[in-house]
Amino acid sequence: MTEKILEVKNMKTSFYTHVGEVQAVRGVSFHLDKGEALGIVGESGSGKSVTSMSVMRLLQYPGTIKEGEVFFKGEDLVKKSKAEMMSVRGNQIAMIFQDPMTSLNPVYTIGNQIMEAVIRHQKVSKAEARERAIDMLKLVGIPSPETRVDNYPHEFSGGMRQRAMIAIALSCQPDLLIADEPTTALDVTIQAQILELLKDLKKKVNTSIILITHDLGVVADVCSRIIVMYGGLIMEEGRAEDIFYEPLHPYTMGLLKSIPRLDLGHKQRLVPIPGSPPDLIKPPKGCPFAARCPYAMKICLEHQPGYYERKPGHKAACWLYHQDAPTWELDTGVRRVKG
Amino acid sequence: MGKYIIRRLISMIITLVFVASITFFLMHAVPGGPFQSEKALPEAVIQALNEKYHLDDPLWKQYLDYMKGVFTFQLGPSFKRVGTTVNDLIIAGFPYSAKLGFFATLAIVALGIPAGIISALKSNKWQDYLVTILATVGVAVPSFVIGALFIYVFSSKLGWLPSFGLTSWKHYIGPVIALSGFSLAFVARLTRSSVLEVMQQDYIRTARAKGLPEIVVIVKHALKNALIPVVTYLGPMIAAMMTGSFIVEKIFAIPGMGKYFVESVSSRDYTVLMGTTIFYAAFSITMIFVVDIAYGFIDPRIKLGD
Ligand SMILES: Nc1ncnc2c1ncn2[C@@H]1O[C@H](COP(=O)(O)OP(=O)(O)O)[C@@H](O)[C@H]1O
Ligand code: SF4
Ligand SMILES: [Mg+2]
Repeated sequence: MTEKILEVKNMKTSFYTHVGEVQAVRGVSFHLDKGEALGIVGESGSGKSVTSMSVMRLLQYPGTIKEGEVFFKGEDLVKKSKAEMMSVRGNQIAMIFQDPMTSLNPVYTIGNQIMEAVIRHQKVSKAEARERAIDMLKLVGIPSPETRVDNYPHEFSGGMRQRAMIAIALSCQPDLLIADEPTTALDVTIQAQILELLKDLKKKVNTSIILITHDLGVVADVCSRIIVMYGGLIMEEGRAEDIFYEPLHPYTMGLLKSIPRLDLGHKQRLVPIPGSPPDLIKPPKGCPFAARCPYAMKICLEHQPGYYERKPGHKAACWLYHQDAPTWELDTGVRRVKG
Repeated sequence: MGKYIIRRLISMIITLVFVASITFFLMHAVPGGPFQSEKALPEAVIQALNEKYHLDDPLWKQYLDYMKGVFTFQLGPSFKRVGTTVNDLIIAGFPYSAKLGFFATLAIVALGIPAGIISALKSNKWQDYLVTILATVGVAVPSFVIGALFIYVFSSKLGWLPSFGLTSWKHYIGPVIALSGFSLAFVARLTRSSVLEVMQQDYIRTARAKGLPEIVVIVKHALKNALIPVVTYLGPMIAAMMTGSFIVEKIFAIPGMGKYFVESVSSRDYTVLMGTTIFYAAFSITMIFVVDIAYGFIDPRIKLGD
């Protein structure tokens, strides 16, 4: 029996802005097993970052978790005090962000920024923390870490900075690492290196990982299970093979069609999903994807679909799987060509 | 670092040469001479005076003599105060201006920066509104109004504080408020906007994600970055504070540099006018240099090495 490290139950997060309540996350439930790597995928604005910031309790004014529970190792993080959360953040749950160029403080050395987390959470001396910082830099593949530890962020390239961010995140051996678009700001070859590193580290340090990205191509290699988000809701959830080869939700199919294909080179035609994401101040009352869905039916506009489970662990929120729905020839976007 | 300092010193000297030259030629381009007045002096007297002060020499010679004076710190005799040199006037006036400027600077740094920080951290709360209102008033109301109001209320009406001179600590209150008012308000606003901007940066989120307490996030991660633009402003501002505001010195009857500067303008005392201008310029240039060095310590991205 696998142990659940994280279990999010019906979490809703809103931003109370002057133009109205932005319902960024409208009730998501998912879990993560110990040692597992979960991908959260969805177009920009679908609520992925807000989901992760909610789990970390890092939301800033005017954002709040208005409902739901976030169980981490059996304890509800939503109920924890600020001080209790501080000893969770950076220690048991760590996070890395999209833009390594701006995520490190320009006026402190890399070493200082790694040591800071270690000293904060563990009873170690400054010298020991420095040793740890050097070890971490070595672990994430920074050459000559003994001298690099005293460099400032501007002396590191983008890829190296993201490695340094990973070093900070892993410095206290967290149980969970959340990586929010860790490769989006990097160029393609560096992207591949960082993903390779994450995969490698997952084995070495035995951390559970949540990898967030708008690009399904990124999660394919690293994650065993995938959640597809749209309009602040989970549209589909399943094992990576399910999502890539037997997608259920028309939105997932749309995402699959928009993955750049290496095998086709420049001749490929990317098919972005036409239309734009829903307004989260007045979210649609039915399926959030209805306005862009080629199969939308009358009921889709009226009622939010529940989850239909096709096989254990693979489910989608779509009326097409209701027993009374008409049968369609679905353009799934699945490609069997591999390698 | 050493190389950088030498390079900077050279460029400072060049800047000073420019300032001194422009001042010199502007003075000579202005019609009218120092010995013109309503009461016409006899031709012979003017002749004698011109000779005495070398005003008959060709312009290039006067210029070279003057530049030599500037670089040997001999700014020449005053045309109007017989027997006094410009150096004497600066030595007499600068200590007053400098002391006043020092306290004004202290007030600006010790009050303006914390006010800006509080305002930013409590943005849109009453503390922020209070600071914003005070700062707007401070920026909008000119120093002579603050000074005059101060004298009216605290000296004439209430009789609590003296209205002129600089002999006791009480004498400093009015002039320091009048002198620092604008910059204090400006620094508070600058600090506020800078802190607000820095608090939105990604590295602040990173610091929070490490589990650091908010106070460490603010003091360690935000302030060091947020104060960079403030330090930039402080350099030339300190120079301006220390060399005296003629308005404030006039209102509070303080015998500082500003007083001599103003008098030299109205009396066409050219050497005093040029001398005080160049002194001010030299002081400013030096302060900017000091700030640039300080920069190197705050911001590692700025390389002073090459
Ligand atoms: N601070 C905020 N104030 C108001 N709305 C926000 C804020 N942060 C995020 N949102 C909104 O929440 C929604 C989800 O954003 P996000 O989670 O960042 O999307 P993504 O899936 O691209 O990470 C977006 O519509 C965004 O506009
Ligand atoms: S519920 Fe309806 S609109 Fe939504 S994805 Fe399914 S078919 Fe399309
Ligand atoms: Mg995001």
